[in-house]
Amino acid sequence: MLIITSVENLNKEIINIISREKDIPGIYVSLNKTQKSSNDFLKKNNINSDNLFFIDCVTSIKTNENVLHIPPTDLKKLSFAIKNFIKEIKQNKYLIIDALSTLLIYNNENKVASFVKEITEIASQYNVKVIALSPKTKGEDLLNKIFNFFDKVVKK
Amino acid sequence: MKNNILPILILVAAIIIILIFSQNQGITNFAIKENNYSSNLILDIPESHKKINPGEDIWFTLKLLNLANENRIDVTITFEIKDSDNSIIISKSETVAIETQASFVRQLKIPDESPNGRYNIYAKVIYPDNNEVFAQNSFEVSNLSEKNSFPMYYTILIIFAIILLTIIILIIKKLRPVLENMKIKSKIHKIVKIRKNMIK
Repeated sequence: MLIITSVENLNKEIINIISREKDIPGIYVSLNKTQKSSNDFLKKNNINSDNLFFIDCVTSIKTNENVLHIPPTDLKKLSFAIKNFIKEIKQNKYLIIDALSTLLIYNNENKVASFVKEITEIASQYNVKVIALSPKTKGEDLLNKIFNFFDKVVKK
Repeated sequence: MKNNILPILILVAAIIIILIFSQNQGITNFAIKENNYSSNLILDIPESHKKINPGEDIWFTLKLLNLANENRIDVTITFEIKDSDNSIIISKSETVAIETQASFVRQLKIPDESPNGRYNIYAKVIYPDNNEVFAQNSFEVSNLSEKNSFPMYYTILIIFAIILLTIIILIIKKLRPVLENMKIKSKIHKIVKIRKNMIK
């Protein structure tokens, strides 16, 4: 699923998604917040993050041993990490990407589109729900390229 | 592919530089023959003697061409070695008989105190009828330690080392993503294993 929403609503949507999927583990790819900020934000909103496996693409400073740090410039490594998390977590799981258009700061559109295509293919192969969030105002050209990779596109 | 071009370019540039450098060191090995005064007489210095130490012998060959005489005749050959100021440092004369033989190998000892530099060797052949023919050539006097400062096998060794280094760099570049991926995989396995109990 691709959720396109305003910047102000982005955090609210994340909370909704994680609350809804609280019973299954999730792989949280954080592109615009550090894992610590994301964790604090979730705690503040009474969301338990024990079920979440973080891939922090914002900082390389390792504050938590249980967090994987991948630079946003290396999409190959990022997709490799996501794939391995999917393979390692045996239960039903979901993948949440916050926020897709941030990747455009570090990579060109076509590379990001390829990355999204790859992730959706991996998710489909392993029956994993993908929820990608993107702010309305950013990366319109990218969104036009990646619409078709998702089963559902929701504009809020 | 793009990332692999740079080490290859550096390798090629390094090889070219080394070859030029070693060629310059051995340039006297490809010294050009000097012009002869007369086409009847050739004074030839073998390549191995184009550069000698002070105190060593300079070896050379004298060839007489277009011999008209059928009978044995005596000719006087005069050798002179002159330095770059045209001062004679060695002079020697001898009389030789020529008939069938028209090629001589001779040597002259260069004085120990001869300074480094270019020297000219002159040969003059005086026939019984006072006809004269001339020839000249040149050689260099320098210290051997300078002469052999960069033997060929060092050049080959350095080129081989550069090729090997380039190959190693390319292999590391290829292997690095593989090793990094292995690290990521291992870390993910560790994280999931540790948090297994926390997951519902």
